[in-house]
Amino acid sequence: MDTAVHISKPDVVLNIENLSKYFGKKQVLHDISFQTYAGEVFGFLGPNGAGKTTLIKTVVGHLMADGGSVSICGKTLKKDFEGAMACVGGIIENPEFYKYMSGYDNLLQYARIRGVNDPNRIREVVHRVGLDLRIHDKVGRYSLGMRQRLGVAQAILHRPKLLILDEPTNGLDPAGIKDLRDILKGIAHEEGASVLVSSHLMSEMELMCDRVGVIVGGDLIDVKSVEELVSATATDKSDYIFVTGDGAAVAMLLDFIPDESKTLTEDGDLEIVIPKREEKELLSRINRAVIQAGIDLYSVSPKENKRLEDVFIELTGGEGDVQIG
Amino acid sequence: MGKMFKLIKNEIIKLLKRKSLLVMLLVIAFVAVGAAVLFNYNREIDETSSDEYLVGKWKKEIEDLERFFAPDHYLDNAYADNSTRGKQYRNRSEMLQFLVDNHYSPYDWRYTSGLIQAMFDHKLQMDMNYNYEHHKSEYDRLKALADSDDWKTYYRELAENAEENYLYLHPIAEAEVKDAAWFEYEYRTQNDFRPGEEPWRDQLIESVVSSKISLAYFAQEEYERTHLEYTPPLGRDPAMEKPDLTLKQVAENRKSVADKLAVATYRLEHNVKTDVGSVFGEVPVLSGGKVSPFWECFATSSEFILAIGVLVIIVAGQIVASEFSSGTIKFLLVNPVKRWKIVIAKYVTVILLSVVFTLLLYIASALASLAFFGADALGDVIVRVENGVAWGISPYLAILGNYGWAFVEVLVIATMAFAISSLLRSTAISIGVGLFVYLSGTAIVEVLATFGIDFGRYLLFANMDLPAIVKNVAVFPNQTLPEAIILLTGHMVVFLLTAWDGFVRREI
Repeated sequence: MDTAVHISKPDVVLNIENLSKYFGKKQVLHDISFQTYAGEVFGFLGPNGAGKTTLIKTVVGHLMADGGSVSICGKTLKKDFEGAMACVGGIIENPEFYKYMSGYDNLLQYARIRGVNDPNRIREVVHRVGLDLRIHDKVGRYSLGMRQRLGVAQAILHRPKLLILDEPTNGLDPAGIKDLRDILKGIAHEEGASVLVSSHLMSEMELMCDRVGVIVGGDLIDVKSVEELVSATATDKSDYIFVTGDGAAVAMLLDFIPDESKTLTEDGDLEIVIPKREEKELLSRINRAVIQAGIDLYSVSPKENKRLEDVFIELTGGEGDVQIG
Repeated sequence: MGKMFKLIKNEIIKLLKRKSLLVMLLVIAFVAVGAAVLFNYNREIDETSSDEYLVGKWKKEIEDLERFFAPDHYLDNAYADNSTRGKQYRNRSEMLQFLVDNHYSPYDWRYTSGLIQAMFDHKLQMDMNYNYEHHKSEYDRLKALADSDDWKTYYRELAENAEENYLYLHPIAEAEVKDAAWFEYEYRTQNDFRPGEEPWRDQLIESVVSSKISLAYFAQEEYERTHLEYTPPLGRDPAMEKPDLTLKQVAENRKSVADKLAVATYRLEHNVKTDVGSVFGEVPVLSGGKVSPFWECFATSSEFILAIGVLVIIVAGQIVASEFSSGTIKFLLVNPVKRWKIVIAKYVTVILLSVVFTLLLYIASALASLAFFGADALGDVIVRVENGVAWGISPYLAILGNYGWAFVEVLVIATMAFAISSLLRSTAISIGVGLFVYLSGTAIVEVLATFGIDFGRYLLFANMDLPAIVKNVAVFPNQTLPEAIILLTGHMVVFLLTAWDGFVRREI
């Protein structure tokens, strides 16, 4: 957040008011309202089938809203579709391109419609997503990850004010995910665009997003900054994993730790929860005790992700399958 | 507008980059060449105007004449040799032998102008000892003309004689007579058109001259009808005759002769070797001459626009549906463009492509016909005439017009395939239904007509062949053009609304 553009009053880029959507009689979006601002990465978090893609499709006009309104850059979708969509770039579901054309030719298609006349800009985005060497190959020969990169190139081609990416890390390798993260952060924090990302990968969201909206069963149940979200359910305890030569023996040894704070994992490692205010002191005491007892101590590491998962499961009421990335 | 142009450009590029487009172009080339091959294979070769054929006829006639003089002939040889007929036969045989021996072409001026005939007429008179000296000197003079190949002198002589003869027949029509008598000589010498080199031109000159003589005759007739007391032919009641009507008839005949003259003059002036009108079902005022197979073949090619229809249905069937099947529709519609603009751009692209395909078939057919039948007839035109004024229409345009009429069908079916493509979002179904309707529609309508099921006249396919409807030779009797146009337009509107609804109003 320290690289964020400093604006006294953040510009609203996407404004969604009371959006609802039915598939037949079934309501799939319930009165959803929220805003995204220039310069932030906004994450949509929700289990499969929660309505993330439906919401995104409604925002870009693929689906017609049954109630409420969507406005982008101050232009409502209904009244000024072309004006509103001129501010939008995006990947909806899977990145699909004309397979019999080269990546470059595919980009040219979008450049033409969106009035991007500068060939340097195309080269620039191609370089940014790291496709320089393969851009003149036919898309039919691309891997999913490469198509995802081409999708991002397509989406940012015209410097949109609002960048919408539906599950953008699908098919990317870890290096690709990091590249993407850097690109998105750069676009939001340096170029001042508003980035809307949906995902069910929680660790991704934590690393990528400034704010997160949690959507479950068609309801937007919470919008918070990542820090807020974590601290909302954060306790005054820290959780550590001790990998030692003999977990059970260590558990016996540490008589100054209450039994309910010590758990043996399936691997025989020891998980210990300690109060935050005594964290350093207790850690050094434990270490010393283990070493004095002549037991091998291989590593001590904080267990972080557990907490966000808890947050998520708590928020979603335990429904849906959530992957911990 | 600029955006629409770019959308259309995008669609065209998407089509051009497909490999299937190359296949389609090959199909067009194949159809054009195949049509020419088929035409060439089925063509009946007419050799009746070739030199070899005509010279053969001379030789055959010589054989027949020689048989008359053969020893085993049923007539006694004295009769064969000495009778007038025998002498005529002998003379005729000698003349033909003379032509063959001198390798004269049947189109050689000495033969076609009657010079050699005149020579041998004199020879016959000599042989029959009638004013021997006179005929001998005439014979020698004509022979010298023939040997020296001096056509100008001979044609001048012919003109002088003609003027004298015509003036004797039609003394009132002096201007017309002179015109008729001197036309050929003047036309040929002015342009240095040697007789016999271009048989078609010789025929046209003959038509002009005979028309001009007819005009002289009509002038004389009119004068006699109006200025002299009319005497009906012997044995007919003068009261029953109506001189007025006769004058009217003269005027009518003169009109048709004037048309003929106008056509012949036009063709001579514009060097129109053949009148191609017969290829297009027109009856030429003047016998058109032998139409080059180039034109017949090229004109037939408009029937192969059927193949273009098939190709266009394939393109129209996939242009919308393939976006859905490949998933690219979601990316196409993330752009700042209203959906109706995209659907219009796609439709315009289909229409443009079908126009281009049709023109390509046209050009490929012209080239294929050219390759098979040569470039001799490229300058030919269709000659039309009205009220004594003739003008030429380019057969290239006439063939293009036929393509245009056939294109109506392609357009309607392409629109239908496009609508299905947009409605069902399935390439296979839209191409399948489109092809089925296209290839069986005409047959279905014809079956309905055969069984006398009259509502068939309101079906799409009964109304596609607009020229046939105009001529009232369409499948159902008394179909009218306005009805057909209303029906076609109605179908098109329904198709386009369907396409619109399927693409613009529905969710993705």
